[in-house]
Amino acid sequence: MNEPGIPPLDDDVRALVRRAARVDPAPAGASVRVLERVERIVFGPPGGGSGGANRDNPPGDAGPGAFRSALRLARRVAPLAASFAAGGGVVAVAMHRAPEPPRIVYVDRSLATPPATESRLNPQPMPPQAPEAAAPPSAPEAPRANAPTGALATASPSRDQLTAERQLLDLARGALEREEPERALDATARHERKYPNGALVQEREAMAIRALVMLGRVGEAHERADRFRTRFPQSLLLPTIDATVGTAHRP
Amino acid sequence: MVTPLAAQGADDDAERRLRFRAVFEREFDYVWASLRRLGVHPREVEDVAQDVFVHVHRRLDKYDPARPLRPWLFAFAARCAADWRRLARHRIELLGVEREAAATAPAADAVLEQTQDADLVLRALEHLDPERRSVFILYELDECPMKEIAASLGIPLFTGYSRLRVAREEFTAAVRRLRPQGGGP
Repeated sequence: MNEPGIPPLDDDVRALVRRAARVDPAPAGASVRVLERVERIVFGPPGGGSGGANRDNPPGDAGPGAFRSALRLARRVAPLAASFAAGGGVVAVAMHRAPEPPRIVYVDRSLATPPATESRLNPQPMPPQAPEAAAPPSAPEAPRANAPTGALATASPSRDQLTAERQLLDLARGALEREEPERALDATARHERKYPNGALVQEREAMAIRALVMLGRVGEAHERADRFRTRFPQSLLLPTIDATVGTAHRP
Repeated sequence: MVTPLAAQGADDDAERRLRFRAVFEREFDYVWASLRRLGVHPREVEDVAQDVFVHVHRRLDKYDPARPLRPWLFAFAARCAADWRRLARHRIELLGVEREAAATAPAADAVLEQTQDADLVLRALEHLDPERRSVFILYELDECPMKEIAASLGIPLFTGYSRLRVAREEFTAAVRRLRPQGGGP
């Protein structure tokens, strides 16, 4: 498209843009997860109840960002919340509903970073067709598990190292979600080689154990879980690991 | 006992949910792609998409079906992406994370080339001011008429063209800088 008075894009750049203009499908499963979360917020939890942040929320509604965080915390961290104390946190255990496998998620906060107080949704106005959507959600973001984990953080790494560790484990987590346990195990092995005693060693072990179970290597999974219990007897991830290996009979 | 009023309310809710789902299912991929183009980190797109659709749900009654849906949705995406950018924690890790993940995935040549094109465009878009970026994405990638862009973003038509002109220059310059030496068109 060209408009009078505006120099057009060069041909090569235009061609590049056209090639990149296609809308590719979002990652598998993303739409289902997002729809579920949105409907929980706007309609409330399935089966009734008033837990959702629907349009009837009273004044002072913290807005969807905060509710999202709150829901996420409630769903994923609630079973462990009592164990959390102040400090720098990096990980929470996702305890989904019974039929779903336990999932490990990160709380996106470094050990040294103070919690953000800015809401994801701040008072800047929405576009003109959506003025009410700018309803000023001024409450701080719901507290993500940015505290805690004395038991989880086994070291005080630099932010760079934490980021690097997390990138590796993100690969593992993504592979587990795609049901590619071999890739997940490969990523955890890489993490183990690079960061044998890293800050996210417990998360690595939890994912590795899950990958082993998915591969049917149940004996190895149990052995690794046993070593984990010995090494981290107070770990917040133990319920997850127990649930993972609990579904697989020890040979 | 269900009163007629309560029954009507239930019908309204059901209809609203159906309408929302129709929009969601039709345009989720578009919103996802738009958030990526707006610079939202891949790891965060899911959360930001959630914010977008919560807003969309709340404003669905205001949508005029006579107008194109995508520019209307894009406005929400742009707003939520801007909110996301303002969070300081995101500024630290904006770049570099996804590269490794992409590099580990095997890809046929054609797919790889397409991925590289898309990656180059995303990286070039990062060099644009957010307001100009929105106009550029809607106009050049989504091929929306400027009149609709101006309406959905709430800017005068002239401003839209002005942003487009500068955005084209900035985008072209960024592509020239970022494109590998000897890279094709």
